[in-house]
Amino acid sequence: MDVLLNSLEIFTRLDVWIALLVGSIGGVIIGAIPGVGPAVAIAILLPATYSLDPIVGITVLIGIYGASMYGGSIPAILINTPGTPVNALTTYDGYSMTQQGRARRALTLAYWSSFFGGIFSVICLILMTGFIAQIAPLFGSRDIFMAAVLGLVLVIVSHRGESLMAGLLVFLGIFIATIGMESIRYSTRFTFGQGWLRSGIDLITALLGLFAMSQAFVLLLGKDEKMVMPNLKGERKREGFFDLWKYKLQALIASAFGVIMGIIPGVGEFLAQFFSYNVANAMSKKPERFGKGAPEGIIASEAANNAVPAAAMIPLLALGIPGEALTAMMLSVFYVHSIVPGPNLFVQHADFVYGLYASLLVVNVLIMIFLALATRQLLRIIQIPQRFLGLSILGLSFVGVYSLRNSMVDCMICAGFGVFGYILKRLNLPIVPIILGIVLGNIMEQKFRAGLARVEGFTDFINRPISFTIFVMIVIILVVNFYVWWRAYRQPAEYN
Amino acid sequence: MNRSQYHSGDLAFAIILVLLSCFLMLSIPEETKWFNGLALLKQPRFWPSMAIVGLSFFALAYATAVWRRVRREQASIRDEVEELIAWARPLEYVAYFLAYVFMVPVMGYLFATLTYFVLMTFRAGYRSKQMYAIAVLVALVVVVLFKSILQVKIGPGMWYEMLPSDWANFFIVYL
Repeated sequence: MDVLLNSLEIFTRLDVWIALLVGSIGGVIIGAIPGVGPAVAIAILLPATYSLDPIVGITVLIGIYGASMYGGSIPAILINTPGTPVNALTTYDGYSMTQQGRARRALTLAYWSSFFGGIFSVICLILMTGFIAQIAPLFGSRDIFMAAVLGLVLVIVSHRGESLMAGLLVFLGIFIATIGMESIRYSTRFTFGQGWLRSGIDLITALLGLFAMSQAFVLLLGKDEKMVMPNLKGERKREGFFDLWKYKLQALIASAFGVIMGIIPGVGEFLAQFFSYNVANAMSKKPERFGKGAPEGIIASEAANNAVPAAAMIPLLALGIPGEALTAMMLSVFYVHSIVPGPNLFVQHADFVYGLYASLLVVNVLIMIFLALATRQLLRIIQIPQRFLGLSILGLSFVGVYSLRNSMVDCMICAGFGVFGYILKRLNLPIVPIILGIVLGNIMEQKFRAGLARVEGFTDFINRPISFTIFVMIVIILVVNFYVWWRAYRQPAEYN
Repeated sequence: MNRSQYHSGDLAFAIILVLLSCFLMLSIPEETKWFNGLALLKQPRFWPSMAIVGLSFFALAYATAVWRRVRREQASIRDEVEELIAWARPLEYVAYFLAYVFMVPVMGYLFATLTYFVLMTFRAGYRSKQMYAIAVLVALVVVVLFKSILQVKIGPGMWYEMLPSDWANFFIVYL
């Protein structure tokens, strides 16, 4: 009870409320502007949050993460352009509703569905805390190592159609994480005699280059597009809420998918949406309406993707394993403040954990209030010229990378990652695997070396119940995916 | 497990990645240390070698898949070259970015940022007074937000030292 009261005490602080407002309002605005997205914003803001209290810094970042998806639904519904990639599915039914003159209803439905998903996942997170706190300390070095391997395997197999490139980028990320001086024997690795490589490549530098600078280049080298906004006058806001009430079962299922997919490292919003959309379609009495303005389609997409952020905190907080790029970025804030996410977090910093949960709840409420008051004003923000946005992101990238240690070399490395990220984007290849490779590669090597103290051969890594269970999961996932690939590979030949 | 359609630049990218992995593979003995008497799994060389082996495997598999697509879809060399040229286009903006980075320790964050935003607005093709006013406003907001309020660590510029001492202190701390 004391822990709970201590955690609620954070709401007496002005800096926490400012963080909640900045995170929720800033996140909605960032999400509403096509071409920015939470990854760019979080990468830029990350170094600025290092000087803040950990709960304040994390609240800003998680606020942006969650709120951006609310904001991303606005351009998805109004102009058929998702504000963030995870709002892509919302365009199917959202934009169709706009074309039918039901834009306001679609927006309200998206907001309420997002709110439902967000609150549902925070409640799940709170209910699971006791279980997590009990099970997390059972994870030793070898178990966390195997969990990180599972995360990487899931990252690779979940990039269906791009698994080879995802695998390549994961290993490139793991390699990048090994550059510099290693911490056991203090020998240098792959520095090529360059002094500036001895300290390795900073994660933030890579993040800013791959996400922010590459996006700046994409925008600067593109063209400004004229956007025509639909009129939102004359529609009742309440209908969207009634739609959600009518399809509450679909909302519940979509949110449950969001929570499950959020917990599993490397999976995230896209699969959650995909499953929930298909289930909603199968449950519908009028499945032919899907893609042509079905309210259940918007519910499935928005409830699922907004249920992910809180759930994605579970592997991060319990095991210190980020499941996707945004939680990987947040991990660095924990480390800067000497709060090590993992099995001991729930014992040593329980008030911090509960404070974070409470912040997540408040963020969702603040977002809804902001959206109720400011949707019309947000329509103007969506129309910011793309190239101006690009030059602004490039300028802001400077703050992020230069403020780390005032190093010009860091800026050059960041620019190099920016060009690499730009090439990946031009080739329609994923960026997230390389980031998870860097973060999880680092964790894996640490846990692998820590585990070596108690093992003699590789089989000793899987002789514990948890690590063995995870190992079996990895084998099953690989076998199933190889079987699916083999069938797809054989099919054209049989057809011919 | 791989993309089924060919995209211009896939071949060049695959070749670059195979060459990179070969280069890294050959650099392992030179760039990592081997400690005698230490088990393989405990060697500092083990982890980067494992990463490079994985990288090489996927690079070869990816190159093979791309090559199959190239042969199937009769991809043209011209498209490939055009794509390579497109990859070089951001370098112009990299140069502007680095010029900005070099100017901050000289002009100070405020003046360098104002100059960057105004000149980049011009380079991006905007000519209206309204856009320049917005550029100046955005630059000021960025500096005040990050340097004055959030106090991010950005060193002072040499120009600030030429200001009267009271002004210099204010500029060094807040702008």
